[in-house]
Amino acid sequence: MKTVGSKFLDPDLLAKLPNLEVVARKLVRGAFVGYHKSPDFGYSVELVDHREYAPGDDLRSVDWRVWARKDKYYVKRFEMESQLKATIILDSSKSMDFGDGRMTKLAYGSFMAATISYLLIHQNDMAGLVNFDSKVRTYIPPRGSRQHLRLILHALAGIKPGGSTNVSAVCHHLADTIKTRGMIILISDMLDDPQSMLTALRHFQHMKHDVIVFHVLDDSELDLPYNELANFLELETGSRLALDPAGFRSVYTSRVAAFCGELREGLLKTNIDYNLVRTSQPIETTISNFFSFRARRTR
Amino acid sequence: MNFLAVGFLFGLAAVAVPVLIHLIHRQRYPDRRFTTLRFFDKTVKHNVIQRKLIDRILLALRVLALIALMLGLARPFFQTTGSGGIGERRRSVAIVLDNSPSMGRMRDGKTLFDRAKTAATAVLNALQSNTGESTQADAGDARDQAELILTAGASTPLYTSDKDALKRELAVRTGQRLALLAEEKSATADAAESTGAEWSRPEFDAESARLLAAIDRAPAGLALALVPLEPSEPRLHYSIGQIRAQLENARVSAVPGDVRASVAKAARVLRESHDGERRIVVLSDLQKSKWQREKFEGIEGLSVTLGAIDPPAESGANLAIENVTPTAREVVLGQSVMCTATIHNYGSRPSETAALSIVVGDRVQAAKIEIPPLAASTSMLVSFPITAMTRERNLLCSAILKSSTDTFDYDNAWHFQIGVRPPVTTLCVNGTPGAALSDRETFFVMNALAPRPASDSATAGQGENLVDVRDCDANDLKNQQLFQYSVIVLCGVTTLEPDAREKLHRFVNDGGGLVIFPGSKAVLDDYNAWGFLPAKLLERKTGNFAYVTSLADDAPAVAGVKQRIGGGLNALSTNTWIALEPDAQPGTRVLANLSAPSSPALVQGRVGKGTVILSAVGSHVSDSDWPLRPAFVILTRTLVKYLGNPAVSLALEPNRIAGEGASALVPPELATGTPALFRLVQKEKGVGYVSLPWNRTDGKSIAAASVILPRATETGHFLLSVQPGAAEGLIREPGLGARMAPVSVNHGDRESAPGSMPMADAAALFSGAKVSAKHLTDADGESGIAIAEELNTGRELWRILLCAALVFLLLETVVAARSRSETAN
Repeated sequence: MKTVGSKFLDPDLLAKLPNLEVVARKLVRGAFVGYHKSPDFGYSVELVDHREYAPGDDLRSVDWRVWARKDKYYVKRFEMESQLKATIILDSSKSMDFGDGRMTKLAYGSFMAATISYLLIHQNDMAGLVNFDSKVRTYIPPRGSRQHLRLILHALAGIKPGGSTNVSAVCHHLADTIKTRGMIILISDMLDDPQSMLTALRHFQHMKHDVIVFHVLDDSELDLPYNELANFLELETGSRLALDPAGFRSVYTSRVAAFCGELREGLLKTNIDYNLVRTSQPIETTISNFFSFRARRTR
Repeated sequence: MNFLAVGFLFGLAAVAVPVLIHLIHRQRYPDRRFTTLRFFDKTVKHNVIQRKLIDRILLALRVLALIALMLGLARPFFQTTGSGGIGERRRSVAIVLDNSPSMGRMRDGKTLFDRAKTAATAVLNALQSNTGESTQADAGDARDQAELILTAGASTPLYTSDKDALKRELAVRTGQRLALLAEEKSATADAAESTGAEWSRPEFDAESARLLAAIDRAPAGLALALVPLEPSEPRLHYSIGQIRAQLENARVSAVPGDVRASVAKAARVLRESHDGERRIVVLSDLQKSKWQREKFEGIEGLSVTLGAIDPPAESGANLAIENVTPTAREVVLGQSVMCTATIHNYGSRPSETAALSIVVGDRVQAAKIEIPPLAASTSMLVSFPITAMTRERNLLCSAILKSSTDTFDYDNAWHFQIGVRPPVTTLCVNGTPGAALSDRETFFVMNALAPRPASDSATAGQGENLVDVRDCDANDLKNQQLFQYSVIVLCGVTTLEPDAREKLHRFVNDGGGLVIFPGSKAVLDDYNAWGFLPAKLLERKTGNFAYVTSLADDAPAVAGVKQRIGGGLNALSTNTWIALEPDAQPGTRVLANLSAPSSPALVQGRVGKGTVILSAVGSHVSDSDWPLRPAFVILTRTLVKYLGNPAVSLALEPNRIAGEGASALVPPELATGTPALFRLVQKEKGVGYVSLPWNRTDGKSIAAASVILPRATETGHFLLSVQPGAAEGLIREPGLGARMAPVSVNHGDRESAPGSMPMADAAALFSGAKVSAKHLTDADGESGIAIAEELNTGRELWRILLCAALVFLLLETVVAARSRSETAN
């Protein structure tokens, strides 16, 4: 399938993701029937429990076998399978506009967002997009139409990096905004205060969202492969620091690892999926591995 | 700072390589965009300053390594003022060896000088020697330098038959005026015959090629030596073996040494050295030897080791000839002169009977004078006659004292000389023949020159004034053999025949002396026509009284006359004289003036090699009162003596001592003259000189040898420089050449009576230097080794530099490796 006008939706990439399902681990509530478990009761084949008949109940839901044994009317309640409303929150701060490899983190995240959106919509779920830096720049509510996918792709193509990262504020804001249970997919380099971010993400958790964090980092950020002395220029603040990266590499990598570890630990404690993503890693691999693993774990 | 291998300094340009590399690869610190600096360390530990620092440390280490390497290869040395300073490990040692006479005293069967030599040998043995003579510039691996300085003169030449060694020495002394001497005892007659006349004389030349050829030409086994013609300044030698040979050859001098001058020489030599250890080793008995209680100068910053050699505790008997005084400095050949010798016992014990032998010329007088025992510190006078029986101009004599118990024999000989004057043969030409003796014009002149004994009836004689006088008439002058005479006196000659005039002219021109008393009858025009008179005879003055008012005191012809005459000069008066007008020829001068205006009394002039003296007054009482005056006698004798035997300064004063050098001024006319020490003689190849026989202290006379001089009778000083205390001396003439002649000299007057100086006082004289003083007592060799061990070996700067270069490289490697490992991590 070719979505017209999208530079972030690669058919070859999509071809490598056959039958991949984006599965929500939590109950989600959608307007339409879908493939995901819902907190509501519906008409699926999965029996949940019985309750006494009340006037107005559909007689088809009366369990006659129970009536035969108990001589009371009980109706069967089945699980509700609903559509998934997924909101992809993409960090578009200046720090995301960094990449020593073939693409920047923002581009990588955009590819991910596009692909995940495609997958969601392709499986009749709904996908929305939030673009933020220090605040929300773009908000596209989740929809399930293909036109909506085009809208998302168009929005992705129009993202310009800028501003500083403020994940916690944006997440708090979105947690208050998105009322319907759904999936929150945060794609960011997470260069913010870890505790603030954890608190904000727990806010999502508190709102019963299924939260997934894709921590996108470039290889250079993780490994600091530079040897030459350089004036390091911070993208978001513009501050400089002359540094000998070779002498500092081991310290740096340990600090980055500690930072990522702190995030991972904090998120896992709140049952939020955390996935550290290198931009050098193929996107399909990243998405395939994560969602396949997630689907297996969910089953 | 100087360098032994300057060429390596160009290698310092290699320092530019790491600098350029550093500049080319200098980190330019580009801006690098990065997401966040939150994980970076903002302390200095890991930032760029540290890296810059490491880079600069690496650069500095590389540059320092290169600089140290190149400097080390260039072998630097520093002119340090202190001993043991930074410099090469080499040592410079100047050994000041006291060879004054007092060092000849015996102690335990060994002289003090021998003990000092043993200690000096130990010092030399401690030094590292180069195999050959070398200069500082091409020292190569040479280590230590040394120089031996004798306080009382240099040692005798080092004879060797090793031609290669001579050639090496010649190469080192290129540009120096040298004489190549053959040792007389080895230059046998056979050797001389086998090589022709070449080796009957030494070679002397500043051209090393000629000396080199002479060395090659010398027969095998002939001992040769190179002797500098000019006094040579001491200098440091790398060849310790050569210094050792000089030390072995050193002997006790006959004259007091000059420790002050020797130490000054040593300091001067050492100041030119760049070695880290510069030490003066003074080995002395601290006896007189001009040890003065004045501090040595110029030794600041040097190290001084004072090795005091203790004299014997008891001096025993020591007879010394203090001097010999002849009653006359000059005698006529065949005459005798009484000499008085003063003999003193300087010892602490009475002497035993001794014998005084007298050597006159080349002969030892048979009779020996017995000297009775002398108590300590007593003197006696001994008189003995010496008869002048020699053809030499100066009779060289020696008085030699022989004593079996004398502990100090350097003062047992005294050398002196007596001038021997041959009679001046004089021809007086009578201008007025007369029967009566007193009427002859020559009467008063001959009486003045040679007063006849009353019993002597001859017309000629020889008086005490050393003049042999003959006379003849003027008309017989042409028949006389004038070459037999030294001086001709013309008395009242009116005219001369042309033949006689010509003959007289030749006589004067060949070097004869002519005195003219014209007299009142002289034909002035005839005189003026002679052409060789120093003045023109203008007119005869009569009737006016005139007398001599002045004499030219500085003129050799009338030297001393004024003092002898005194007030009698004015008594030379006359009524008749001839007005003279001296010519303007060089050499013409007025010897005396009359009281009349512009009236010279005596005019001297040069004619060829001879001299003419023209008087304005006649020589007979018929002409003037001059002959009647005593002053006339003195004046006439003086003029004739001067013309017959010009005054020549004595070459060797009786009290002249060794080391001062004796000299004689050889005037141009002295083609056959006899200066005191040698005589110019005509030889086939030119003019040479024959040295006079000198007498050795052992009483043996050494036969003279001759040297052919390339040039003849030039005016100049011929010098005799003697090796103090040695049996040989060096006759040196600037510009001509040199030869060795055996000679002995008189001792000084200070060393006979010993008087030691406390070692502490002597050491205090070396203030400004780092002084260590010690007594060299029994084990002199060990003491010498102890002195040698004092030599500060210093540090080898070039090795330090090379080690530093290695350390720098190692440090650079470590720092670079560490930096790279951090980069890799």
